[in-house]
Amino acid sequence: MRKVVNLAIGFLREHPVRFVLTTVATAAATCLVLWVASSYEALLTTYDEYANLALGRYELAIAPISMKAEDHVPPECLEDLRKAPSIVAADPMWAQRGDIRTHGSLPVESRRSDADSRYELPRREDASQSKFAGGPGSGPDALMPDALFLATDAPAPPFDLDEGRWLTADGEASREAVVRADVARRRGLAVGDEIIVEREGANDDDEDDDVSLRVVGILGAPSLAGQQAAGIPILAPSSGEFFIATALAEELFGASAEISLIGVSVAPDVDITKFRFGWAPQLNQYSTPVQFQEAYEIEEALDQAAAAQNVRLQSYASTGVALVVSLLVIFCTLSMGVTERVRQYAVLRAIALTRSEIGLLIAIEGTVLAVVGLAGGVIAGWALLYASAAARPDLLYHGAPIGATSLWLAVVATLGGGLLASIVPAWRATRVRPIDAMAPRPDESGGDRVRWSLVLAGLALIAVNPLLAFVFPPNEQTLHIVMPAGYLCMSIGFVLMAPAVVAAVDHWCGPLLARLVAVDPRLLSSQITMHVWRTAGTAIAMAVGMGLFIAIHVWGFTMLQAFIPGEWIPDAIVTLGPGLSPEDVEQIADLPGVDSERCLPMVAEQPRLLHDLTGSADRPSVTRQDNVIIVGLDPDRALGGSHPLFQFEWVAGDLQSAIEQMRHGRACIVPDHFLDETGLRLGDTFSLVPPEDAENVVEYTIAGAVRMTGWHWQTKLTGLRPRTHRAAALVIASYGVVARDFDRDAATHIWFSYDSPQVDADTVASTVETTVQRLSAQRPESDAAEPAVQEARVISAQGIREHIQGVARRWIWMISQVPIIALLIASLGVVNVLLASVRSRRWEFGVLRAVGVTRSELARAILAEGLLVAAVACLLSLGFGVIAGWCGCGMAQYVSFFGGLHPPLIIPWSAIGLGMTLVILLGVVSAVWPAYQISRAQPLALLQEGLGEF
Amino acid sequence: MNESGSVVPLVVEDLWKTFPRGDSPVTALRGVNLRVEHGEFIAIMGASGSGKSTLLHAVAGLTNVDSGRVLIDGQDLSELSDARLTRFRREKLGIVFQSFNLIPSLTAEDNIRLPGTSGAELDKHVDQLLERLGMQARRRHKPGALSGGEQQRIAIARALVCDPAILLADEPTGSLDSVTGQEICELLRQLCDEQQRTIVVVTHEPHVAMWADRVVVLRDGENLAEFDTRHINDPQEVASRYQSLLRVEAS
Repeated sequence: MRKVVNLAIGFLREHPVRFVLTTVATAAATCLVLWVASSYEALLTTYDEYANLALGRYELAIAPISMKAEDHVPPECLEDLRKAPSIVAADPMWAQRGDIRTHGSLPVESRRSDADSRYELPRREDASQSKFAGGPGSGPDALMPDALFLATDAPAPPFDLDEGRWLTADGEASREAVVRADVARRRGLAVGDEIIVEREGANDDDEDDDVSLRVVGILGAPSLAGQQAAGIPILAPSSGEFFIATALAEELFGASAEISLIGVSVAPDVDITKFRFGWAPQLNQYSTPVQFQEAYEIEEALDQAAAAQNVRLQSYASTGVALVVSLLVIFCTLSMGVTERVRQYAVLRAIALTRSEIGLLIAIEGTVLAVVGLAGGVIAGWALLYASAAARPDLLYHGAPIGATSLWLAVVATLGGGLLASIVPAWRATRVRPIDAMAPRPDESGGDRVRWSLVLAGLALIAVNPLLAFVFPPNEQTLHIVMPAGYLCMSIGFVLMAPAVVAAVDHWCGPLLARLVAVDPRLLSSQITMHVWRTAGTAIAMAVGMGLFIAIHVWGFTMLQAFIPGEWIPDAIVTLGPGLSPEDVEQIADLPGVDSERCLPMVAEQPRLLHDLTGSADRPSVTRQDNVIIVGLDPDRALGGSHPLFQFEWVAGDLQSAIEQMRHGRACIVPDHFLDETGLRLGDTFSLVPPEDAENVVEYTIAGAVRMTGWHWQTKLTGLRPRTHRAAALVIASYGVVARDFDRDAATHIWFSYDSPQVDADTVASTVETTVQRLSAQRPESDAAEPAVQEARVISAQGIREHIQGVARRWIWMISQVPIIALLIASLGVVNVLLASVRSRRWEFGVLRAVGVTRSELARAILAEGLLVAAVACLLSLGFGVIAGWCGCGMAQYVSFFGGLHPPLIIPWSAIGLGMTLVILLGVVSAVWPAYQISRAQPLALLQEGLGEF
Repeated sequence: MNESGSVVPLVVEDLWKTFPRGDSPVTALRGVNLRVEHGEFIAIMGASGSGKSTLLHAVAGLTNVDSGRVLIDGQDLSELSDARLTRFRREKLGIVFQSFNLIPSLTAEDNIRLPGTSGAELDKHVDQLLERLGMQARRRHKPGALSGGEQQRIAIARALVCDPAILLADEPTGSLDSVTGQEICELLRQLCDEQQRTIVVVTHEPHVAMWADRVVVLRDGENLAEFDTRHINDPQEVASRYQSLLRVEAS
């Protein structure tokens, strides 16, 4: 064993530059894993801190085991708790979501974290500066139209108050609220401000829909913001955004109070563990089984939440990428070593070592490379995180934690990659026959031929993924098998095709490139096919990163296409509150810049579907929800005439028939995907439940189906979703019918187009907003106590497109960082291969220099060789990336939340072009040093060194 | 076994080996027989293509044979698995190559140690070999820093480190100049005389074969003849006897 280790170390020390490059590449891969995985550990630390504070002054909470909204704690549980002598306080809380509007006196802030808000993630700076930030649904920090109320009569607040006072217990439904500190900051609320809560179930005729509450206190409760708060599966006292009295809550929500959770304080001398142990059997016996929650249970639930799952997945994904890159770089290094040392292995087999010892020798080499890379990477990763934390404490406000998870993932990536990389080279080395020690020098003049069987097998395997995505599409049950199988087959297929691609590039690009760089084509001929698998391995290493980059872009931009507002959408929409009469809207149509023939008042509502036609209960998605957005417009002017507001592409039905039906009844136009998801057809009907008159269900007939590309974001950012975040479809019907069915006595929006392409959109918007406000002020019924128009915003379709594309581009490029880093790491492997290639041809170069080939020509030949390797990588990554992205989109249509819209394939050539340019550049840069080395060497030295090779 | 009851180091019985070459297979060995006693130094001579290298490969266990037996210290090589054969070769055979075949990344001393098992005994043996072969001062040098003759000495030391039953040398002076080659031959002779080493050398050079006790001549894969060289000190005499054997056969 010792001699095998000594041999392995000796072999590694033979080529110090190669050793350094390989370990640097592996270290970089380790850094990548640590960088991504440390964010997961930081998130867990955040959750840990939050969990420790989430219960406030209570040691325990009691909540139903099921966590379903309809389950509550039985009242007898509260009674029993209050009788227990060891319990100091048992405060019930009722959780309800309510629709609100806020009129904060403070500006909405986007602040970095400080001592007071240390439990809150710093907000992205663009969130508050974007025009769309205040609108519903615009990003994770958006001001949603509803909030979580916790109704309680607890005499003391669950957390310390930052300002103001706690709720008074005056026995009446005093209209006051205490707001959580982070909520107050986001909504610009201070003590004394008002919030408007929409009363549940009230109707227009009898009483006010809205109740005004005064903010009396601000509670310093911990919170999780943004992505950290996504899908938190647990209810705690800190979950409440607004705290109100129980009686007030009953009034607001039109129901008797229930108990969602009970905050429990125990006597100071009580052993919590024994207390829980004693109470646990009893808790299980109630009509609704309930359980205790302590801080650690909250933390466990958070760790299982969607946000943590996402970051954990990102950690695993980056580990996978790093493993593949490490594997390929180390594989190339070991493979080169085996090729160069065939004779040495033969001698060792002849005199000293068995096959397994030879295999062990290679494995030790691979392990040493991986271990050194891992150690270097951990040090470098820690230093990088530490420097980043010092430079940007807001970015890494938990410092630079490299915990056990990060380290384990780094170990898996590097050691796993190193060991896997050793398999094939070890197998090759063990195949070396001892008799070869007696043989003369092997002849390297011939290259490897293309094996057509491999090409055919490769093509067949590549075809598996598209077949699984489009011909035999997966469902939720089969996706976890189909997707890995499809992508694995495709990856293996491209690996098998790689030698053929190398040969093709050599044959077709080599002579062309030789002319381009002015070298004799014979200098380049067969250089990359001489050791085809070495070239292929290097190109594949580069193609991993670039292929992922292309796949992300194709997938991302193709999926995005379905959400970009299409050309059917008019140029701009005005959101109104409370609304304008259709007569007033005619004045808007006469404004400069507005096309008077294409300016229509619109009413909008978001009713629930009576039946779950889209199957949202089974699998919700962007096309499978339990409600729709219905807008009412004049059908003749919206669809007909010479200048209709909309110019749709019809999928079912026809224009004239649809207009006729809409004129005379409850007929509507729906998006094409609505028919796909519901199975409905032209002429079928579906029922809607008006939110403010739930007993009077209305039925609409489908008069036509059209392509409405991008309706999601069009409605998301323009207040067309007044009730909830998601909708299954945008349905267009007649203005009068919708206004009547959903009790809308004024237009909620105006949709218009510009009268010419050259208008200044901002000027038109300003004019429209000013005019709307003037018209509102002129209304005889305007009330000084309530603003006539809470908001009048003009949002252009182009602005929405630019916003979405900008956000999407940022996200896509952010996700692309890992593949680009992988590409950069792989380019170190290219340097290694070119150095080895040049080294093995030193004698040949010596002869060439001796017969008159210039230094410059030799250098250019080597640079061209690097370029050829990069060209192979470009082709492989383009093929893999496009097919991978295309298939990913295909599969996503059937299982993803964002599927169901079947967008056309988009290949973002500009982004891909940039990526390819980077690959080519890296290929050339990687060849600079080998080219320089050879060009500086003297011919005699090359001849002598080359001959002396063993 | 020989007449005194000790095991004969090398016995080759009726060895056949054919190399497939498409439509024209080449039979390199046609029933070759050989017997080498303990402490004997024999040279195998023959023209190019006579089968002498193939015979050496078969004796070293580096190639399989079609039929016949090779017995090293009584062990039939065909009965050993690949792993056991490797270990057997490590312990019982020392191989010296024409092109030295030292591992470039190891020092001279580490090259010598390769076949051995680490320990104090190996250290002592290595020291003795370095001393005997006059390479103490060069023990820490890598092969690249040694001359051809020095490299071959190290190769011989490597071959002897496990105290093998037989030392096999394939054209040991083929890559050396005549003076250095002479030194190597003298060294082999001394090892044979001093340590009773059993040595088998394959060569086509009469001045190398002269140092042997006996010359075995192969022709076209068959035993042609043998002659004693113990009392021959002139390579010309070896050459002329070799040539006459070939002429007799030809006629």
